[in-house]
Amino acid sequence: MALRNTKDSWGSLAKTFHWVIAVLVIGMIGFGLYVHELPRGPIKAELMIYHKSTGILILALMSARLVWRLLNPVPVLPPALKGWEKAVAAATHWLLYGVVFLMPISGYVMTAAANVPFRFFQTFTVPLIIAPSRELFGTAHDIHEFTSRVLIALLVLHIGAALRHHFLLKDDILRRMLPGGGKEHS
Amino acid sequence: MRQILPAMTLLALLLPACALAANWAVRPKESEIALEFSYLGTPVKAKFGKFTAAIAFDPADLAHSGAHVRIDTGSFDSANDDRDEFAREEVWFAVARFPEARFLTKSIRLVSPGRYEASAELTIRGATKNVILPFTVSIAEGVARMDGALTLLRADFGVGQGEWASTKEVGAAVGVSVKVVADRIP
Repeated sequence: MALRNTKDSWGSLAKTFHWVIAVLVIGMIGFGLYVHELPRGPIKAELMIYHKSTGILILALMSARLVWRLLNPVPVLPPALKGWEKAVAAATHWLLYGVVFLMPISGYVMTAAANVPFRFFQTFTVPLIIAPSRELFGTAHDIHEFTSRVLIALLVLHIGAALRHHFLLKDDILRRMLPGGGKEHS
Repeated sequence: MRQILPAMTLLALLLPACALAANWAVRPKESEIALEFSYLGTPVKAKFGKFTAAIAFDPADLAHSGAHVRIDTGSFDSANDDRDEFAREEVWFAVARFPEARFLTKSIRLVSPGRYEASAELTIRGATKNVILPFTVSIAEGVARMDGALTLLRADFGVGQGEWASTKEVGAAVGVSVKVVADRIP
């Protein structure tokens, strides 16, 4: 399979970004909600490191993914789709990009503002370039929480749409993002 | 007599501690008791926002020099409301029972010009320990600037009980740096 995208299908690198980030993001939502509810204690403290570290990892992957996306052709949508459907698809995809960036960024600001430095997967200390501030923490916390709800809603929409395309419209929208899937192999 | 005698003994014990002829007035805004502890392997800065100090200091008369510092343990400030509130709880500073930490010098000796060492009794969370505080003092135009730092082991004072006695999350050693700016009382 080609590394780069074609006008018919996603390349292997775009697919890898998509599925690796998908697993990380969905895992992070569940993990984040779980850790958030834990009582204060050493266990919660340690688990938070992994939440924060994974967030930084997602931010790095998303940055690389955005560059790759801008350097590649985007597979076209099936011509049978109506104009509004294409518009909703494009809006959802860019909103997902924005929200998946905003989650780790607001999380990072929360951590810096709360004066809780951490080591990336227990290796190096992540530099916190924002001064501690109770006010900023409150704002970043609200953004993080609200954005997580928007993210969940967008994921429901995104997964629902992929399944609709596959099972109801019977087009190759889902297949062309699957490993080994796409027109050049069919 | 049975009641008066212990009372008098107590008074006699207290007298030397009160006999400090304070001749310096601390400038609260320019003075600071800062802390640095490690949290999950990364350094975190905090401070005690409120303290009072009675200071008698004369470089030519160290025998009658000394300081009695009273620190409001409830003023622990790590720029994080959640953590600061937790620090006031029973497992950390137990502020309800020990609202005050005390630093009472016993003697001060000259190390080299401008450099001194105070031998003092430090009481935190009801536990008293002898400590040595190395410090520098410079006096110019009636204003004294003092800087000192020492490292404490929080376990010596029982700060961090139960699951928090473990040094895996909050490190054993706590750095304390003291900065005092004071005006000579005429």
